[in-house]
Order: sequence, then structure tokens, then C-alpha cells
Amino acid sequence: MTRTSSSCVSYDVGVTQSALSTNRLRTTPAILRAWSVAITVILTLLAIAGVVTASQLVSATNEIDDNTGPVLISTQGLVASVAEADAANTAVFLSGENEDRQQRRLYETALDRAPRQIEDISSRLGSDETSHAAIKTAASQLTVYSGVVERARLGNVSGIGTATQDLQEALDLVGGSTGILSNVQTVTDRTQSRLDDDISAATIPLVVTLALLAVAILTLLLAQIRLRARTKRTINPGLLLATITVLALAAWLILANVGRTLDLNEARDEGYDSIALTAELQTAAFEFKTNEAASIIGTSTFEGDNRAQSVARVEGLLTSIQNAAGSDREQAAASALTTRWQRYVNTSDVIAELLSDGDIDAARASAIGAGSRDFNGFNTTVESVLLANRDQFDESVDSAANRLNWLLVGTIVLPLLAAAFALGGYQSRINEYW
Amino acid sequence: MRRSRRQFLGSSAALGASLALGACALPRSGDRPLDETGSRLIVVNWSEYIDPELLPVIESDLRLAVDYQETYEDNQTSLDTIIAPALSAGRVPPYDLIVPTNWLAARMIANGWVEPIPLEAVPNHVNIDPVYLTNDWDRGSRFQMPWQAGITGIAYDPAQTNGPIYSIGQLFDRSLAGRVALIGEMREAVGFGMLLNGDDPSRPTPLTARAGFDVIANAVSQGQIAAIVFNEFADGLADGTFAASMAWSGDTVLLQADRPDIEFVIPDEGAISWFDTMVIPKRAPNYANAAAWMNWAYEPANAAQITSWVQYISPVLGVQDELRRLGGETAELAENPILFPDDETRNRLFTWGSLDIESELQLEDDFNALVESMS
Repeated sequence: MTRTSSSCVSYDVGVTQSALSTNRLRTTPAILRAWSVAITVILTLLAIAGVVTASQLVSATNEIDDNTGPVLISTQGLVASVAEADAANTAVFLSGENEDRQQRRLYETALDRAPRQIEDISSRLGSDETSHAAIKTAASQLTVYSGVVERARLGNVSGIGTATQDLQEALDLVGGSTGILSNVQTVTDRTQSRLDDDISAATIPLVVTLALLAVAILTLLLAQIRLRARTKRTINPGLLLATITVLALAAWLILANVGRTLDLNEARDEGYDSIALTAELQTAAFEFKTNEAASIIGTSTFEGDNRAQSVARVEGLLTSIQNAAGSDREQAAASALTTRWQRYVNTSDVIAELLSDGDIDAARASAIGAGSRDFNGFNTTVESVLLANRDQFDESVDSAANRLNWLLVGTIVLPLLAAAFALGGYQSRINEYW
Repeated sequence: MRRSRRQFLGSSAALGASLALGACALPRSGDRPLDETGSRLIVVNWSEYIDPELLPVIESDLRLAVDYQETYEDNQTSLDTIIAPALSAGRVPPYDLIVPTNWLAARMIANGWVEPIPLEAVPNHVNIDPVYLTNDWDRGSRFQMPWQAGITGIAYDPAQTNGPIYSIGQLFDRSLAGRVALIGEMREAVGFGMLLNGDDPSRPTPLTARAGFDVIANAVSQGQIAAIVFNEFADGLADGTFAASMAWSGDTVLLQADRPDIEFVIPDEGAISWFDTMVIPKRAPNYANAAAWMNWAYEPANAAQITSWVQYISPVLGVQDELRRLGGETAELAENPILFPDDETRNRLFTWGSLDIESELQLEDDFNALVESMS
């Protein structure tokens, strides 16, 4: 009996404990605790996703600021230096025995500048092997180029017949299809692609973060509604604060990302695209100058339709730059470019006429004097336009970076703060049961 | 540059105000707002570096009250007294435009003391002679616009030198001992020494610059040099104190109006070219008005007025044609090889290049000590 009784009692106790346990889980405090845990988990996940997103956005923007942008700009500066060096060298060559020292100085200073620009580019290319290989080739070509120039110079002064071929070799080393400018273009193209990648960085983490934000907001709203239904239909202040905090984080993240994207698109469209267009103009003008030099030294002809097409190509690019110019300053710079180019073409027309009349000496004299000066005027104007575009590019990238200030901290602090508010709100409600 | 040229003016000065001058537009916009400006303009320039009769014309053209101050002494003094005190402290300077020599402008730009030129307000920027666009310290002339340029060569009185001078080396010949003057600008004097040594002043190194200085210092210690002066070289040549002198081209052209027998040469070794250049200091109170002044000065017709009076090399394209168009004595200036050097002459000119700041300051100190030792 006792045993039976004991057994019976024992059975009853087991049933009662299980029922009590189930009942405890169904009690209001237990349900409230479960909600608070779920909300904490969601907000913690949000903090993790937010940190990943913000880190990637900041990192990609810094990459543009520190590496991609400067490389794109330095490549155009390198094109300018090489173009100037080669134009000056050609003028030196054409001046013959009585070497033009001004042009020689220009050549030497431009050639001094180029390796520094190559070094700068090289240090910012990251792990892009193709770009590294291209810039390395350009660097070694530059060394070969300076050697060929010296050989041509020596031959020119000594009256050795192969000097002309040496000059042509130097011209080809710069402007040929696998020359220095071509290798620099490879780096430019690849870096431009990296720029596009950097602008659209962090897409997946951003989508995940936004989804978690939506889940968090909906959960908090649902929690508020349920809590309100179970209580005296009053709003829980902790949950309200948590909801507001998460909404603030959502607004911050969206605004920062949209602003960053707009700024970077502006940097690309208004800054870099102008840089690329101007650099294309520079290359086209340089090709024109090279062809003119070759026609003076007699290694090729440059006249008629061929010459007219080259002029038309440059003029087309000038029109594009004029059309792309947004601000008054850009318009003024584009107008200056057109004027400088026209001056050079006017001198070049005289040179072409002298050549067609067979007056080689006069053509040489004109090319060394006014021709070189006018081309340098054009070339340096291109360079100052490039620098102005660079300023605009830098300003837009800086603005994008500024929009991400404190976002990383915000993505950690705000979700945790929201979780604290939510826990506090639930705890105060749970405390009412004790 | 520089001073005491009015007495040499002759008839060319009278042309100044009598010619019609074009007005210029002033577009608005840029990095620094161009509409944040009053109706004043304060310009600090070397003395007698513009025809005074042009100033009311400029005021009328630009509709500005121009406060033109001829308070720019030599570069070093001006750096110490009116440039560095305001600009290094980040204060608003008491002027809108100032005209340092190229090397000082380079230093100011490197220090961040200069506003970029608002191209939209200075469309005549396109008239800068390309030879002034290739300076490594301001490629494309984004921060400065040359005002006037000059050549530091040799001027001499053939009656006193007993023959032509064609070389810097002749200045140090004992036959001219105590009758030679040097110019008191360190870069020009040391540049001469470098040229004598066969070095390139446009690309100085501490070693070559020091060797150039030593040439000058030795000549001073041996009593070869009578004085180290600025524009006073012209007076010394005129009154016979000096037989030969380092000389500024513009002052010499003016001297030759009274003393056509005085010769000016670019020595075989080469000569020093320099230019004084307009810069807008940071935080200049009337930024847009300074830009308007620059634009006015780069209108070829206006630049020709300036050239006809100061008779230095104009950095503005088209001035030679404008001078020819004016006719008479002014047109003769268009054919003057000192004002419009040909390609062969340009090829023998060297503009002082960049030296590391420590070496340059040390040279300045040593050169100043040398000058003081002579006084």
C-alpha cells in the first residue's frame, strides 16, 4: 500500500512536474523572455552583417582614394611626361649639331619625372599581375628609350647616317602598338575595371544587412503589438526605443550608401571620364606630332587625307571635352585647349607647306621653334586640365569617404543599443509578475 | 623690375594712356566663390613696374578702386616683411595680388600660400607664352601668371672695357679689377658663377651651386668686384663708376635711350632668365578682382601698353604684333632683340631651378653675408 501509494504519489508528482513545466513555458514571463532572446539574436546578427557591410564599403572607398584613383590619374600624368619628353627630344634632334638646350632640358626633366610616376603607379597596383607586368614592361622600355635617344643624339651630332633610324626607333618605342603608351593603356583599362568593382562593392552584405534590418523592424513591431495585446494596451517604451534605433540605423545605412554611390559615380563620370577623354586627346595629339616629326626627318610622309584625319580626330575629341564640360571652369579649360591646339595646328600647317615645297631646313627651324613651343603650350594645358579633373575626382571621392564616417561604429553600437532597449523593455514588463 | 626707371622713359611713356583699352568680362564661379568680393583691389608690385597713367584706365575698365602699392622691395625683404608674416600664420593678407620672382612664387606655391587661378574668370590665361608653362613647380601655370620677364646678362661701356665683352669670364679679368658690379639677387649672381663653371643653373645641385657661389666670393675677396647692387648698376654704368656689370635687360634698354653706346650681351656661357609673376595669396580679400586684373593684363593690347613703358620681356602672346600696330617709336620696340629674343638667344638662357630648401637657405645666408661684407 505504501509502495502502491508511494508509486501512485510518485506518478502523480511526475505528471504534475511535466504539466507545471509546460505551464511555466506558457506563462507570460516565459513567453516574454523567449521574445526578448529572439530579438537579441536578430539584432546581434544585424550588428555582424552591418559591420561586414560597413567594413567593405569603407575598404572599397579607401581603395579608390588610396590606390585606384591615384593610379588612374598617375597613368595620365605618365602619358603627359612621356609625350613631352618625346616631343622635346624630337625638337632637340631636329635642331641638329647646334642642339636646342631649352628642349633638351625639357626632355631631361620630363624623363626624370616619368620613372617616379611609374614607381608611384607600381606601388598602388595591389595584386594585379597583368598590370604589374605591363608597367614593368613600360619601365624597361623607358630605359631602352633613353638609351636609343642618346644613341640618336650622338649620331645626330656626329652626322652618322643611322641617327634618323634611331630616332624613329625611339618614336616607335613610345607610340608603337606595343610601346610605352600602349602598356600604360593596359594598366589604365584594368584599373578602370577595378574602379567599377570598387564602386559597386559590398552588394551582397548590403542586401543581407537590409534584409536583417527589415526583419528586425518587423519583429520589433510585432513584439510591440503582441505585448500591447497582453497588457493594458500601453506602448512598451523599451521596444519603442529599440524600434527607433533600428530605424535610425536603416536610414543612416541607406543614406550613406546612396550618397557614397552618387559621389563615386560623380567622381567617375565628371572626374575620371573627363580625365580619360583628355588623356585620349593627349595621345592623339602626340601621334600627330610624332607623324609630323617623322615626315621632317624623312622616315615617312604625313600629308593629305592622312594628316586631315589626324586633325579631325583631335578636333572631335576637343568637341567631346567641350560637351562634357559641366562647370564654368571646365568650359574655360576646354576652350583654352581648343585655342592652344589651333595655334599648334597653324604652325604645323606652315611646316607641312614648307615640306611640300621641299624647304626642309625651314620646316625644321619652324618645328624646333614655334612648333615645339606651341605643342608644349597645348601639352601643358592638357596636363593642367588633367590636374583640374583630378581635383574634382579627389573631391568626390573624399565626399564619399566622409559619408561613411562613424558608420562602422554605428553598425556595432546601434543594434546592441537596440537590443539593450528591447531587453530592458521586456524585463520591466516581466518584473510586473513578481 | 625693379626701380628708378622713370627718368629713362622718354617718349614711350606718353603713349600709355592715350590708347583705347578693351574692357573684360568677369564670369562668376569656381572653387572659391567669385562673388565673395568687394569693389576694391589691392596690388603690391615692384616700384615703377607699370605706367601710372594706366591705373585709372584699369580702374575704369574693371570698375574697381585699385589700391596700387609699390612696396615690393627685393624678394628676400618682401618675403620677410609682407609675405610670410600673414601667409604663414594663415591670416587674411592685406593685399589681393602680389608679384614675387619665379623662385619665390615656387616656394609660396609649395607652402600652400597661393590660390589657384580661376580659369573661368581669366580666359586670357590662354595667352601665356608656352615657355612659361613648363616649370616643374607649376606646370600649366595653374597658380601664377608671369607679369614681366627679363634677362640678367652683361652691360658694359666699350670705351671703358677697351673692347667688346662676350664672356662671363671677362668680368673676372684683372684688367677690370674694381670696376665690375654684380647683381644682388643670389640666384642670378650664383647662376653666373655656375655658368662660368659650365654648370646648369636651371638644374642646380648643392655642389654646383656652392661652386658657383665660390666664384663670386673669390672675386669679391680679390677686389675684383666694385659693388653688389640692384638697379643701381645702370647709374654706375651711366656715370662711369662701373666699366661692366651684370645687368637686367629692361633697365639696360631704358639706359640705352640715354646712352646708346652702352652694350648689352648674352655671354657665350649663357645668361639668367627670370620672371616676376602674379599670384593671388590665400584668403585674399578680393579674389575675383585679382583674377580680373590678371585677365586685363593678359589682353595683348593691354600687355603692349605695359611693355612699352617697362620695356621688359612680355610673357603675353601677341604683344609684338600689338607694338607693331601702334607704330612710331613703340613699334621699334617690337624689333628689339632684348625684348623679343630669338630662338638662338632663348637657347642660351637659364632659369634658376629648384634646389633643396636647406642648401638654398644656406646659400642665401652666405650670399647676404657677402653683400654685407661689401657695404
